[in-house]
Amino acid sequence: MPAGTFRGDVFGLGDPGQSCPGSLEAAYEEFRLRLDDGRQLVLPTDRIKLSRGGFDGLHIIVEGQAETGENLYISLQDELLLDHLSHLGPAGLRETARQLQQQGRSTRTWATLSLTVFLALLALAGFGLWLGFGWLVERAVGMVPPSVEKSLGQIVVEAVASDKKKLTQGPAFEAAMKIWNRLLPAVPAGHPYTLQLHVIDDPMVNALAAPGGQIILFTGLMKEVASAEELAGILAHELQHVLKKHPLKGIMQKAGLAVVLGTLFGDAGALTVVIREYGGKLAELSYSRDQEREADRLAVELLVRANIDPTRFPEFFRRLQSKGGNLPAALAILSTHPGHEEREQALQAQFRLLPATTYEPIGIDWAGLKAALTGAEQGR
Amino acid sequence: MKFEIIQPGSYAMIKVTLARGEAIKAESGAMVAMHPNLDVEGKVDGGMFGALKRAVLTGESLFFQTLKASRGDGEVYIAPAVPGDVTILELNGANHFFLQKQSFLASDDAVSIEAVSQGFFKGLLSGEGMFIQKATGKGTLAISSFGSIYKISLAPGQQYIVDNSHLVAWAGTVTYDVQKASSGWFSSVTSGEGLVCKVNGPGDVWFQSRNPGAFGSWIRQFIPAKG
Repeated sequence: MPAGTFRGDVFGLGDPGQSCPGSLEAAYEEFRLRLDDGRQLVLPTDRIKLSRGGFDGLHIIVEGQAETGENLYISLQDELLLDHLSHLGPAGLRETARQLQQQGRSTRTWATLSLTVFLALLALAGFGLWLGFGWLVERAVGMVPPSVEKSLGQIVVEAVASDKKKLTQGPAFEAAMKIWNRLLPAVPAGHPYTLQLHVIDDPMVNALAAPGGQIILFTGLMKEVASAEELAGILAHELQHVLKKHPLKGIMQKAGLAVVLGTLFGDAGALTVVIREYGGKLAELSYSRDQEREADRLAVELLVRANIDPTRFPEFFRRLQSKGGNLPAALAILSTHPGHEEREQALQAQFRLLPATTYEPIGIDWAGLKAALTGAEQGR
Repeated sequence: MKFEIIQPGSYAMIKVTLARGEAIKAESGAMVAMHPNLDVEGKVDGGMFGALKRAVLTGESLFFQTLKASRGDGEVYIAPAVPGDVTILELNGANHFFLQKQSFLASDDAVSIEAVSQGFFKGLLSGEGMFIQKATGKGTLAISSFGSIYKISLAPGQQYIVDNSHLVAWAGTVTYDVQKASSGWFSSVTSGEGLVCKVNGPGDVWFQSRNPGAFGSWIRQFIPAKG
């Protein structure tokens, strides 16, 4: 394309709204238009009006009457046209071309600035939401009535234990209930729950807290602990998760903003759907390190009130972690209870503050129980 | 390269016939059937930043699919995800089009599709979103609508009113303003129209016969409440 020639879209040639592409040659005396369909038109420069237009305000609009009488509207996007006219164009168009160049720069700057501000506000809103999400979850959890929480907990228990045997008798059940009954009287009054322990016959090495006062204990964990006091520590720890509503908070955090906002506005329906859908995956729900430390600290206080030796509690995790790499089953409880080393340090610091005392043993022959459980398993 | 509309109407589809070496790009997942001479691959069109911008700002897929006649001539059939018509636009290098988000269906590989802002208030009130797509370059472009699609051609300075959420595409020379449907707010709201787009020529404007948001509201009344 020769210098001083610019591509554009030309209206006003026939049907209204129909355009034809062409090339505009901007000479000093006249603008010569060569349309792609072969037609040629001439616009004397004294009949030409220059402006900005188009959807983004950045098109250069050349309007004028051709020598043959057509009222033409030419839309161009080549900024070099204005550069050309401001230097080499007829005197009447030079100043307008310069003004349009300035207007174009302002439009572009404004568009870039407004996009940048919009994206920055979007990022800021996202960051604010991320920061405030924990606070929203706390408020939403507070809005769920205990009766709804209990129903949600039952859905979780059913989902976790749906294809497994729930024990109601036998040595494992009786041992678990003996520990449970030592702990319950030491739980501070004032909570809204009916605390329930579900013993599930399953090799998974784990215990879970579900919403609404429900705790699930797998017999696989009972075979891994070395004493009733170790298990009492774990159950006391899970009890604190329940009392502090950690499972509900964890589920809400996983469920996302829509469920949290729905709950805040009094619609627990979305939360029920999420729990029905994902309740079975509660075993994969891990708590924050802060929540774990809080559950540890309060568990030790509960054990002390129940007159159970609290120093045995961390032994289980210490032992499991030392052989964790070789024990796939251990990964379940290790993965859902993060930060063992710092938790151990915090627990040891708490133990040092305890008065020297002799605790009352729970009184279960744990080695005998494990042998009975293993024997029962082999006998199946 | 030849674009044809097959079965125009509510379930329209396009057939693109390609000579060996030619390629088109299409909305991700839009390919229905193709000749074995063609290869299909995902492509981050416009570079990672351009694709991210398009995906984040207009809700389009991060990837376009490129369909290339690598081993000889062949044809490909392409259809949009929602029921609706398809129309074909020509980019001649001098013109360009703006598309409402998600109306891009397919185009010549040389056509560039990028996300652009249409301004805060227009984005908020037009029903077309804060960001729209701009198609530039030279080649054929196929766009899809929800419901049927209709074109009006406006002379320079000619105006027309289109209800918001019904605009599908418009030429780069067309501008629009969002305004009340009636002179008073009460009348605007009670007429059921609320806000409308006043488009100004010159250029072509394509609008769709159905409003996706209104259809969503209509269908929600038949969905049982959760619980």
